[in-house]
Amino acid sequence: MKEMANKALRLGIIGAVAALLLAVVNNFTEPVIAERMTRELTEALTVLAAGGTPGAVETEPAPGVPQRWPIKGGKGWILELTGTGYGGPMTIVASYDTGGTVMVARLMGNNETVGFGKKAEDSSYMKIFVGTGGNRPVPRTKADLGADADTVAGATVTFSGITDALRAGSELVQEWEGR
Amino acid sequence: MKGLFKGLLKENPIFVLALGLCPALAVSTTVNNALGMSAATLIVLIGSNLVISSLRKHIPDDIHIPAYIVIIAAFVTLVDMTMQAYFPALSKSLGIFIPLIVVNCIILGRAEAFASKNTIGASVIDAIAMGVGFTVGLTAIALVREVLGAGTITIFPDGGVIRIPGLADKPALVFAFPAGALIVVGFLQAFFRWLGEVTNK
Repeated sequence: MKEMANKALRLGIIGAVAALLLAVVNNFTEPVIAERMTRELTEALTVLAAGGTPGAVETEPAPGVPQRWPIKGGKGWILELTGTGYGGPMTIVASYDTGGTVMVARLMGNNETVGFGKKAEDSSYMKIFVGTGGNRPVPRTKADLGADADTVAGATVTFSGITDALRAGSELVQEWEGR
Repeated sequence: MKGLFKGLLKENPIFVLALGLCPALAVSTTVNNALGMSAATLIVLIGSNLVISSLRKHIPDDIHIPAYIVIIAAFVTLVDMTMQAYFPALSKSLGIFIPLIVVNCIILGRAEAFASKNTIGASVIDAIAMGVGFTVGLTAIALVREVLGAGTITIFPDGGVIRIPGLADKPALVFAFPAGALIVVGFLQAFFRWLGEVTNK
């Protein structure tokens, strides 16, 4: 019993020292990470507003939409959407005009595979969705992409996660705008 | 000093010991990813070998695996948080493979096989040797894969990309995929083992 307690104590001390070290490092890195994320979101919103000005944020306006921002002047909406990729949940932000057409889209937080799903972080990848959602449907499969199919090659699950989220966002905007 | 060079050929972790093959295949699509992953692995190796070696007489055999994992996980988390804060582009690019260093066989393998039985100085030298060997192996794989599979050499993602005329427009895409990674690892493994034998003679 005494031997067991001794081992548990030693393991506990190692764990406690490790936790203390990480708490000290986190004290320095956490504000830097938070500041960068805020800056990235502000920059993304400016780009997503496509010349307009984002309004006040509203949280949980619909399932699968953690946040939304109106584009001032009734020009449309910016939505934060949650999709499911190969590496788990993905955060996608996209702006829509009042007809539900995607104006700009970006993949933000994700755990997609380097060299495959990760390439969806490139703005050139997300351009294939711009202009879809209103009169043109959001592509459902790679076959719907035509000449752009090579852009998403090797990452079908990532593509499906993004396209499902963007389609849901478009349908929500059309519903909110009474179309 | 002789021990410093063992990781390059004789005991190269990727090509001879066949350790750490998972990240070697996963993040070797670009040279900058390989260099970032190598740096993170080297830091974790040095830190964990140093601490494990210094505590080797105080960690009973029955609890040595959980104790090593806690120590390794602490260093990996430290590197992950630091990369997220100060090297966000690299952190995003490597993604889940940074936290997964915890289960990289090289780290636990060297802790178990070397640091737990040797002095602090020898363990740090072993960590540097293995880290440098891992860096050479991973960078070699990434260089071949990126040149053939994308026609580029990426040193820095923003402005540090060398385009190779001819290949950049028509790359052999198979090398960007896992099958290409296995082909490259196979050929490089044969080359490094041959080189090791030639230099031993």
